[in-house]
Amino acid sequence: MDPIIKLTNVSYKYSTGSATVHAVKDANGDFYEGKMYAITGRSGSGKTTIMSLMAGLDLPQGGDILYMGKSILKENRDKYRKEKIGMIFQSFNLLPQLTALENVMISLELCGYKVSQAKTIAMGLLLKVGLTEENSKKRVLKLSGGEQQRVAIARALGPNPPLILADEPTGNLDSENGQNILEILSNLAHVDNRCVVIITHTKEIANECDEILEMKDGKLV
Amino acid sequence: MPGETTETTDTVTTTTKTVSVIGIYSDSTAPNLDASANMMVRNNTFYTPVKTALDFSSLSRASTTANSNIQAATYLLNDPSDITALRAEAVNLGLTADTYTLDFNETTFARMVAPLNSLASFALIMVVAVIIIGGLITFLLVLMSTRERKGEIGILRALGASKGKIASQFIVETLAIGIIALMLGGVIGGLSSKSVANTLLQQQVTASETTTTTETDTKIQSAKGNPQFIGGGGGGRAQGGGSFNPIAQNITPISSIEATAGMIQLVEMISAGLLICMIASLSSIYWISKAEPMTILSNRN
Repeated sequence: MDPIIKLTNVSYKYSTGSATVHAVKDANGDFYEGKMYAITGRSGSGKTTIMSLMAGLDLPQGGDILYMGKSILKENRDKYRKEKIGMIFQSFNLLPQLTALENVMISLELCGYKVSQAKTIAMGLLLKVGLTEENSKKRVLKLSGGEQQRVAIARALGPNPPLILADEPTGNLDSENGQNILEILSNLAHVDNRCVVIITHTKEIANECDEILEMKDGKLV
Repeated sequence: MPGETTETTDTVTTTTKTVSVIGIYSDSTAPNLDASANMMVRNNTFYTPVKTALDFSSLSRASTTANSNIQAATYLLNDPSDITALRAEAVNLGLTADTYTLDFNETTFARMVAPLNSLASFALIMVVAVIIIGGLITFLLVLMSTRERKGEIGILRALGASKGKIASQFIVETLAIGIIALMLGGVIGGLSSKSVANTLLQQQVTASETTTTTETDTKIQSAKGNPQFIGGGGGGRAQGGGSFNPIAQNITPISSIEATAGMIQLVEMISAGLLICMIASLSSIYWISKAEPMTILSNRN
C-alpha cells in the first residue's frame, strides 16, 4: 500500500537576524490512510514547520513531498490545499463574522459547489461532528471553544480529503472537550479510513495515536 | 399699442411710411434726462428692422439735417461667438470704419456671465480636489481595511483560495460600496444642487458687484480730475462712447440657474467614482499579492 503522503529528505531553513535556523533537516516519513499519527517534539523543534510543508503552505528547500505518489512541488499549491488536505488549527482560524454553517460552506464553495449543495453538505458535516442545527446558525464567536473546533473539523472535511493535518487541535480546549475532539479525529482515521496527522506536545494525546513520530534536530524519528 | 398699425411721416420729405408696432419695451431704469440731445434719451428710442431704418435713412439722405440720419444700429446676439461672423458681414456690406464705428460690446455679455464663469471655475477646482482627496482617503481606507482583514486573507489562502479570487472579492466589495455611495451621492446631490449652486452663484454675483462698484468709484474719481473722460469719443455717433449704450449700462448678471445633471454629467460622475474605487482597490490587490498564509496565520496565532 502506498502512503498518502511521503516525505523524502525534506529540508527547510529560515533566517532570524544573522542566525540561520535549520527547522527541518533531511526529514523522512510515510503516512498511510486509516491511521492517526502524532508528531511530537519540544517547542521550536520544527513541528509546525513540517506541517506547513505537508500542507503546501510553504515549499521545502530540499527533498520532496509526494502526495499519492506525486510531488506537490509540481502541483498547484492552492488547488492542493483546497481539495486534497484538510487543516485544523490550534486557534481554530474561523471567520468570526460568519456563522458556523457559513464557515463550513466556504471550503465547499471554494471547491466549486453551488451554494445550495454546499449548505446541505455543510449541515451534514456539522451534525456529524456533534454540532446541533441551532448552533450551526450562530456566529462562531457565540460558540464554545470545543464547538468552534468542531466547526473547524467540519470545515476541514468539506472537500472530503483523505489527509487531515491538525496543529495542536486540543491546545485551546479543556480536557473533556479535548478528549471529544480526539475521538472525532480518531473516527476520521479508523472509521472513515483517512490519514490523520496531529502535531502535539502532549504525551497523553500522542498516546492515543497509532504512531508517534518525534521531531529531533530537524529530523522525524 | 402692439398689433396696431400706425403711420409715420418723414417731416423733411413729407413721405409717409406704414409700420406695425409689435411690442413696447419696458425700461425700469431712470430716464437719462440729462442727455444733451433728444436722441440720447432712451425713452425716445424705438427699434426697427434694419430695412425700415435704412428706408428712413434714404428718405432723409437729401436732408441737410444731420440729426435725421441713422445714428446707430444695435444688434443683440444670443451667442457671443456670433460676433466674428457679424463683424465680417458688416464689413462685407460696406460698413467700414470710414462711414461707421463698429463697436462690439462683448463686455456686456462677459459681465452677465462673469459670476457663472467664476462659479464654473470654482466647481471645477472643487471636483478635481474632491477626486484627488477623496481618492487618497478611499485608497487609505481600503488599505487599512485590507490590513485589518489580514486574518481572513490568511485563512482563505490556507483553505486554498487563490490570490486572484481573494483580490476579486475585495474589488467587488469596494465597487459595491462605491455604487451605494454613488447612488446616495446622486440623490443628495440632485436634491441639493439647485439651491447650493444658486447660493454659490449669488455669492459670486455679490462679489462681482462689489468689484464693479469699486471700479466705478475709481473711474468717477478719475473723471473728476479729468472732465474729458465722460462722453469722450461720443461725437455724433451714439455707439462711439461706451457710456451712451443703454444696454451696457443696465447689466443684470445671471444670478439663478437650473442646476441639473444630464446624462453626460451622470456618466462622468459614475466614471470618476468607479475610477476612485479601482485605484483604491489597487492597495488591497498589492497587499493580497504579498500575503503569505503561513506568515499571517503564525502572527495571528
